[in-house]
Amino acid sequence: MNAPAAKIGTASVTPASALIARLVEAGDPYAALGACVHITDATLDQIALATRRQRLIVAAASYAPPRLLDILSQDADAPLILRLAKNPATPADALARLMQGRPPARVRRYIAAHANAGALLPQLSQDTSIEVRRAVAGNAGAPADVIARLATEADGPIARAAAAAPQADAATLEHLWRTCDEWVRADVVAHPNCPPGILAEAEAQEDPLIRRKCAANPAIPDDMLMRLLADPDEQVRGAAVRNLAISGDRLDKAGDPSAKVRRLFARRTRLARPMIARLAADADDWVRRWIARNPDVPADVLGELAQDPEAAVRRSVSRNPACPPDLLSALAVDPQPWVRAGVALRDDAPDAVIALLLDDADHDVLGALGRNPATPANHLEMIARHPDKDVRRSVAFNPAAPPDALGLLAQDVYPLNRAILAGRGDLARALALRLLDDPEPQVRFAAAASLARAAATTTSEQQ
Amino acid sequence: MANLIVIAEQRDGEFRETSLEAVTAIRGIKQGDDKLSVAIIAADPQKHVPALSVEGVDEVIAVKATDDFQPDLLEALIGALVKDRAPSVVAVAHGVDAWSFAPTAAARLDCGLATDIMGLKLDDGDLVATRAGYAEKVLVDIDFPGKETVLLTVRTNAFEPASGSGSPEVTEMAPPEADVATTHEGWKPPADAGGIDIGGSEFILSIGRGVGDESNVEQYLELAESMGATLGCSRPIADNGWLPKARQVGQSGQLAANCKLYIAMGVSGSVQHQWGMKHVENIVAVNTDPEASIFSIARYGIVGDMAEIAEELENLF
Ligand SMILES: Cc1cc2nc3c(=O)[nH]c(=O)nc-3n(C[C@H](O)[C@H](O)[C@H](O)COP(=O)(O)OP(=O)(O)OC[C@H]3O[C@@H](n4cnc5c(N)ncnc54)[C@H](O)[C@@H]3O)c2cc1C
Repeated sequence: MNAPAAKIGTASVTPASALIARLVEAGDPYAALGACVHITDATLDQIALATRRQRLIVAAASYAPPRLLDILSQDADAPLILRLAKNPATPADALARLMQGRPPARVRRYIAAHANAGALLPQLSQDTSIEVRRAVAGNAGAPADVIARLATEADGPIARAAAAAPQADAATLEHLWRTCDEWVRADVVAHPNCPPGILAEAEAQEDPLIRRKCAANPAIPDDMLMRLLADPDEQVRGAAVRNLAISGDRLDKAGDPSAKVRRLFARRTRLARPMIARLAADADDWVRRWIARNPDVPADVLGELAQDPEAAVRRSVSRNPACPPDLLSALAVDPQPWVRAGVALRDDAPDAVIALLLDDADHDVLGALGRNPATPANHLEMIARHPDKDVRRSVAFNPAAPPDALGLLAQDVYPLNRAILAGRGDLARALALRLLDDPEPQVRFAAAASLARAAATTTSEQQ
Repeated sequence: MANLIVIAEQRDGEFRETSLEAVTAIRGIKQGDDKLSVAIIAADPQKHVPALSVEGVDEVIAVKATDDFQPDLLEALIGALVKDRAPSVVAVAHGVDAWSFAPTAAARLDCGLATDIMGLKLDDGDLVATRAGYAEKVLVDIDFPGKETVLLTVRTNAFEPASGSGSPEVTEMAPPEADVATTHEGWKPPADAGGIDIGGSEFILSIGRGVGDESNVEQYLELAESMGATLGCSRPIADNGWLPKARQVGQSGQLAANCKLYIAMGVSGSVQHQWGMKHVENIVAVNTDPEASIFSIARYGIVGDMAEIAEELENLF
């Protein structure tokens, strides 16, 4: 069974055959499973599925390759069937196979809710179990005719699911609007396929819930949305402000008496300049926090917000993509560490700003610098040696981390740091090979996956 | 008559209230002419006598030594008290300090031992301690057949701190001989959490990777504030720098020690996250995946999009 132990040379990529040989020799199911995600090899499949425990793990793993789940579905017993039905990665063919075995209602319910069950949904929508039919109604892939048929059932959960179903058509929504309670009607008026006649009726309803849902409808006519923006109920106005169907520059210029609604204004983009200025001077802290994050805010207004007495507002400025370098320099010496940490996360921060932060002792600031590709390599190495394990780990997330810093993390005593390192998309081959012998299964899995990904990419490029 | 002993603790000269919770636990099994003594080691033990003069305490044993934490000295004190007084119970507050001397003392003295107990009673005269087992999934009653002395570490917040005034006699005791193998380097205060108190908060709203993007995080800070909750998070959110590390709940973060209501939104419920919150009595989980592990420990579950639920909550608060 074993392939001859191939030599792993010094090339930057381990050829698939050599990797397979090494993994087969090691016989480690976790590493084999990691490799199976990218490489198809029957012996690796066998190792990954060697024991009952291993088969149960794979059947439930959302990261398992569909190929292995398909294999498992071929002679699955009850516990495996249940896991496969629940696993979002189980492919359509495997689900169909599970259905052929006439599984119990609990399993059919999971299949009915499965994103890959599309072809099975018409059959499942006629299932004898109401739970199964409810699951079909809640499946985002259910086609319009299936939803229409289910919507005729006098069942509350089915009606709610049908009213929210992406593919529910206008006739179904009309039927639900005429026959159901206010909760279902609320979902009907929020639906993009809701017929205009119903929206007009909804706008005139006394119940603010219905008007609020109407205001949230992304397909609402423009004039209706403008009227709802002036609704006496603040929740209705709030829903209208959130609705992206209206461009920010057309939002109310006179302001809104409710701070809650003004906070929502401040979250919108393309706001008119006078409105930005007004929101930036708002008495409500949260309005200023939101507007300080808004990428449309001009530099002079950001400059004022950067001096706000509320640290959270200054933090928002530090995270604003439009924050100019001079403001970043000012915020880099803010007395509040969380504001400085916001600056330290910025890969567009000028070198001088990064240099200023490198002496910081706060762990959130250092963690942010560790992640930041703009941090100089020698400092990343220092951060990778920091006594705090969380600070060290930040370097594993840094796409520009130098090999020496990553080498330190490969020997880190904290398993999570090695696991995050092993999960890097660009893990160097030498490190991946070292991590293949790690005591942690999660690390071996990720290291093997990394080597296999590189091998598979090279093979496909050569073809 | 039985001797019941509580080992009280101070840290850096400050009396630790948790010792009074251990007093309450032991007071509950005190009968007739049983004697409840509380021993304390400190540079100035007399200064702690008023705090220990609570109802039910008959004696304060004042051991004048040091304010430094010396596990070997504490272990030797237990040894001396067991030898001289043959107590039926010795109790101490559960925590990192107790871990470093209680189990070794119990092993050396051949005492019964139950750690992290949350209940204590006498059943037909026999001591029965209750603690959690199998990762807090079941309650386990433990008895101690044949043990003359039982050492207990008492879970924090499981008993009210003892109150009511008392007038115990004060006995001065020389520090016992101890083979002190550790040096106390001083106390390192926890990193400044900028006013964030996950451990002390009774209501936590926690967000996980389901939040999607940094730009959405602010919304949950706002929601938490309007609901009167503290915002917590899972590890990836803190690792991304989206929220300070002080907000991370879990094995490598904070323990939601005093939390009574925990709303987990977009958190899958990994074992490491659960470590910090699964003991909370009321857990509400919001997750798009009906199979997420968080639902297995939640009292209330909502299968749905956290952004939609947050919007509904924003309308209510
Ligand atoms: C040694 C070690 C220590 C660790 N310490 C900790 C710790 O202290 N704390 C901690 O949290 N983790 C810790 N971890 C990490 C832990 O293993 C998990 O990786 C982490 O808890 C996962 O965080 P999460 O739930 O936010 O993310 P995920 O596991 O990715 O879950 C995200 C969840 O959000 C749901 N979701 C997605 N979109 C939406 C939506 N729109 N609405 C609602 N739900 C949605 C998904 O269904 C999923 O369940 C540690 C790991 C190790 C190895």
